[in-house]
Amino acid sequence: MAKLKKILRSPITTIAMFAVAIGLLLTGTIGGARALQRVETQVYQSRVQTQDIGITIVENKEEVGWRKYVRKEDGTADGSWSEQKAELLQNMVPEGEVFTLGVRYPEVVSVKNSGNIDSFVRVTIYKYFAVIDEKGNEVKLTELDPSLIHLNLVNTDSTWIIDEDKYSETEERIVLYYSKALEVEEETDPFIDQVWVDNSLATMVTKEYDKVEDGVNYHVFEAVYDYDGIRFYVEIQVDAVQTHNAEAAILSSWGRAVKIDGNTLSLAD
Amino acid sequence: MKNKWKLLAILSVAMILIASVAPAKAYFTTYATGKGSVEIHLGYRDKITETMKQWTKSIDIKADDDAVPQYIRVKVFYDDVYTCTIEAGSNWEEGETDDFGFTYYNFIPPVYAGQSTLNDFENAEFLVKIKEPEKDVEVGTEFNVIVVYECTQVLYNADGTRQDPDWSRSLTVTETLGGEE
Repeated sequence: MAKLKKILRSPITTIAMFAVAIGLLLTGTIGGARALQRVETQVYQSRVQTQDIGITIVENKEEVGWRKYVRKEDGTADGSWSEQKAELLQNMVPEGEVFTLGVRYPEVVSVKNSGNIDSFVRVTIYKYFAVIDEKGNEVKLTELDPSLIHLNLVNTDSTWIIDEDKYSETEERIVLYYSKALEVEEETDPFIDQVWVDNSLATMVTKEYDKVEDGVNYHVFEAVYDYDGIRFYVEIQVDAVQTHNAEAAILSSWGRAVKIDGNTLSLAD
Repeated sequence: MKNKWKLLAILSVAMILIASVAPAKAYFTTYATGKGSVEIHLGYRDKITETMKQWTKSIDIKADDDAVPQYIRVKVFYDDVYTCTIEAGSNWEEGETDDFGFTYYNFIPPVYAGQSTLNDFENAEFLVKIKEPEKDVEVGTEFNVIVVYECTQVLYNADGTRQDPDWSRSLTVTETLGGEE
């Protein structure tokens, strides 16, 4: 035992360990050198294009938000990156009309693959009520139930999968996965097609009566609603990931276990 | 000297551990975002104008310019000192009757922002006629004719059609037409 200790403590052992460590580090990071027979041919040109991933939000058949590479006329990327955040619901209420509770407004939203590789996509939707304070800041109304904002989800029995995992679906948030790989330039089926706010918001009223003093022949009465002037919000985030090694890519990027069978995605328990 | 060998030993172990770490992987990913909001406007403000002429009161109800659509109804009741009759145009219809036999008159069409019942609708006059008292009524006799106005916001079904007015949610204003003979 004493002899073993003496060997381990000796400088020669330390130097040997260091040499082994160097060797392991080098072999782990440097690929083996290969020798090839070299044949010279006439000079020719080839075009090399790197892969790029891009995604676009489509609202009522109009591309309103995206993140993608800009493409030249021949379809190749010109190297510049294009990004735009979508402004949703801008044209939902017809011009000249006032938003009305209970009325279902058309709002068709889908996703388009604007990259040059196939992708799997998912959508996260947030809905909530808020007001704008005096400083212009958005202040969320946490006492108002977000379920009063109705989004009519469509194609959830076919191409879109609702993630009902307790960490995904809440009163305020819905997560959807597209069950097919989205090919280049392909657009998904819509995942929502109507938006409306519940009538029950109009039942929350503070009554007031005001008698006008000047003039004796008329009165004024006024109804003040608790939530007059508030806004309802819808936020959408669309994520896209490569189809190659998709299970690992989705788990790493989105933190969700899925099963990929060919070009089909399903959620793993 | 001893410390140098210790340091070399530690460095060797560290390098062996680093060599065993799997290389990091990067995937093609991207995202796009969107956000939108709509303001919800609720509430209404109505101006009730009453014109009295020769024992007849004419009523006009006007909605404010930013009022939400609303239904309106009116009820008139009085004690038995005097008799009142109601003359209402065809845009008014008789509604429910209360326990004392007094009837609501419902204004049939919804009243939208800026509209006045008398100015923007045909056949919308609402007259409360107080029958002129007998000449031998004692001076100092009081009389009261009470007009009750109720309004409720128009609500819509999923297909955009209007729901029937829900008077259980109505707001009420009571005005007493009174005086002394």
